[in-house]
This record gives sequence, structure tokens and C-alpha cells, in this order.
Amino acid sequence: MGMKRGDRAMLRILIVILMASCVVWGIRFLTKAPDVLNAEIIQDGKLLRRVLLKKGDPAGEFAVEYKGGRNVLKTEDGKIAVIASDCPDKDCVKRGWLQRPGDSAVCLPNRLVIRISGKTEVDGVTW
Amino acid sequence: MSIKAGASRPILYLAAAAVTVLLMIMLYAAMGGLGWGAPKKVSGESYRLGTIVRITVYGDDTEKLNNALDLSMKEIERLENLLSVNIPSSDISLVNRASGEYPVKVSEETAVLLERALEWSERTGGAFDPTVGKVVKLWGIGTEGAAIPDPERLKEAVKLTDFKKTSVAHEGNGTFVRTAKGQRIDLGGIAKGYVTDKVRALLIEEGIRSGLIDLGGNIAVFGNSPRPGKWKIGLQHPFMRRGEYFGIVEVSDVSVVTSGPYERYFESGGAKYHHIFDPLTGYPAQSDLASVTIISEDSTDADALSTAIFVMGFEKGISLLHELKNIEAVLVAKKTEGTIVYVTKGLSENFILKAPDMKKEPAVQ
Repeated sequence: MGMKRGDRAMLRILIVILMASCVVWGIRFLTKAPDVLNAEIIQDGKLLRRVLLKKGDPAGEFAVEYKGGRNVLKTEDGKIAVIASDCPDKDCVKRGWLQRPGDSAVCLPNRLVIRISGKTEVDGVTW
Repeated sequence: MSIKAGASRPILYLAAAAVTVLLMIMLYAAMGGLGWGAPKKVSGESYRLGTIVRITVYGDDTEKLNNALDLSMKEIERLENLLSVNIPSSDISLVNRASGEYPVKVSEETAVLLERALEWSERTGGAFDPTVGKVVKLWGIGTEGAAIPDPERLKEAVKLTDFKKTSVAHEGNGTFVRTAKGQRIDLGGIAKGYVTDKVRALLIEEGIRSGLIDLGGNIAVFGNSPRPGKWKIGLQHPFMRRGEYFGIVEVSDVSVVTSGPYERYFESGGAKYHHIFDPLTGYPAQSDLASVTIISEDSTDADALSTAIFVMGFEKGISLLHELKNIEAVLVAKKTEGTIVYVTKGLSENFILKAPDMKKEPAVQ
């Protein structure tokens, strides 16, 4: 079938839009990864590191130090928890496993926050 | 040109147009999901007022947002240096050191907050009292020396807890605070609210259109929520771990403040001793409430009221709420039939109960 100039232009526009859609959807798909959580380790207001939490991950531990203070964090099977701290209250340890977006543990004396990023049902929690 | 091709061309164009529109809609939706075109978000955290401070602001200009955030953190530090009982050079520490001796000249902000604290003391019949400082210090809750105080010394501290013996005087050369001998002012039950109000005012002044201020669980929101509809604030479940909420309030341009015994406590001999004291007894308030949430435009009011109503208990708390205008509340009460959540009328439609083990009822006398 012979194509007219208008047809060809139309085809080109269509192909460009199709490709743009593919790229955008591709990025979305790659960045989404639903069963991987992203835990932010924040010390004194600064992002220290990110930890990826995947289902089925083996157990691992690491320590975070701050001006003589020390918290030990454990990751396992898509979860993260503070398992030891030298602070008096141990609120961070009592918090237990963090495993959903929005979950967080705070150690005030060691100025440490562990927070799982992602979309949450609420903008904040009052306590 | 064949007749067949000529006839199908308009249909071809129509189909092409339809596909184009469809693809464009999909592209737009996908971009929305990636956050393109949405307002930029900047948030910051710091440790002030004995807690964690978190501020999130939204807008188009990242530099402006960062600048406003910096100014907010500096403002919090400045106010803490005036109001904190733990900072030796603060206005409050100066007043406490001069108790019974001489009036102390304080900043206008300290004076305003102390006056408002004293007003709430009057209004709540002393259920809220900023002169409770000696009691707070004796228990030391939140410090390493937390312990049940000696009864004699506690009795002394309760005697000194009397807001009527503290006064603020505006003189030609400044504002002065006078307290009774041995009295200790502690603005712990109201300062976070006041600082929240000041930060919100600063952010609005800086041209920030929307944001959320979280001073250790004292929350204020202003402007449009980043999600469709209103802001959604979870209310801490009094019997579950931090971050688990029993309900959600959908609000805009208000402060939401909760008080409960679970916030801060220590354990001794199998009993828990929490940080909200009854100024009349000097002991942690024996409240029939498990938590009190106040929703008010003004965070200073919400902070003082959440503490006061917790101390007053359900009956007195409800009747005070009925006398107040523009104040909404959620009270969690421990009843024999279970845990009941009482919600004031103005909030009823904007409160969502999430906890399956609780029952919602209107807050009426």
C-alpha cells in the first residue's frame, strides 16, 4: 500500500509517543520492585546509608557508632531491627522489626533513625 | 487511488488519533507515578527540645524550601535556648534560680508563653500547671536517675506547685517574672506546641505554601496535602508499639497533639510510672484515659489541653471540651466493656477508626 506524506508523518509521531511511553513505563517498572524495601539509616539528620531489604535475605548485622554511642542493627528476610544499644531506655530495641513503609525506630541519645521509605497511609503519626 | 483505500483512510486516521490519545494518557499517568510535575518535597530532622524534630515542606523552588527549613531549625534552637529548663542560660533557668529572690527580666516570647500557660492553669483548675517543675525534677523521668522520690520531699514539691504564686508583670523597661521561693517553672507541657506555632508562622512568612511540622509527635499541617484530599494523621495506639495507630484524622491547617502515659515512663517493682503528673498529688496522674488527642488551629492550646485533659480524666475532660470553641478531640477511655474511642461532633466525619478492638462513640456527656 502506498503511503502519503501525511500518513508517514502520523506514523512517525505515533512511533515517538510509543517509544516515550515504553521508556517511562520501563523506568517505572525497574524502580518499583514491589518486594524490595529501602531502609534509611539517618544519623543526626543526615542520611548515613540505605539498606535494601529483600524477602529471603540471609541474616546480617552491622553497627552504627555516634560520639561513643553504639547501636547494632540486624537485617533478615526483608526486615530490619535494632538489636542492641548502649542507650538507657532501649526504645529503639523495644521497637522490634521494621518491615513496612513508614515503620521507624528512633534512638534519641544516639541521634539515630531507621526508617523504611515508601508510600504510607498517613502523613505522620502523633504520639 | 483505489476506492477501497480512500474509504478506509478516515477510519485509519480516527484509529490513529484514538491510539495517540490513549498513549498520551498512559504517558501522563506514568509520569505522574514517577513524581514528575508534583511539587518538590524537602524534609529535615534535628534533635531539639529533648526529642526528634522533623519538618517537611512542599513547593516548586528547592532552594527556597531548603532555606526555609534551615531558618526553621535555627528558630527552634533559638526558642529552646529561651524556654528549656535544661539549658542553664535560658530565661526559664534564670527565673528558677531567682525564685523567691527577685523578679527576672525575660524575653517577650517567654513572657507570652508563660502567660498562656498560666491562663490554661486557671482554666483547668490547676490540672495543667507550669510550676510543677520541682515534682518533675524529683521523679527524673526520661533521665538516668528516674526513681520514686522520697514522700516528704515530694510533699514539699507539691506544696510549691501553685500557678497562683507565679506572676508576669509588664513594666516600662521590660517584662518580669516572679516566682515563690523554691518554685521551679517547667514548660514541658506546652513549649513544643508554642514552638510548633512559631515555626508554622515562620514558614508561611517565608512563602512556603504547605508543610508538616512534627516536634516529637506534636504535629501541625498547613496548606495542601501532598496526597489528594486532606492530610492524614495517625493517632498512636496507646497499647501498641510506637508508630502503630488506632485511628486516622483527616485534617487541614490544624495542629494535632496527643498525650498518653506510654510516651515516657520507667518501671520499678513491676509498676510503671509515667511522665504526666497530677499537680495536686505529685504522682503520675491516675487517669481513666489511655490517651488524649486535641485538634486545634493553635498548637500551644492543643499541647496544654492534651496534658490537662489527660490529668482531669474522662468526665471532667469532656465537660471542659464542651465549653471550648473550635477544639476537637479524640479520647481513648478504658471502660469495663472495653476500650472506647470518644470523638467530638465536629471531627466525627473526619475520624477513621482502624483498631478492630476499639469502639467509637460520640463524645457527649
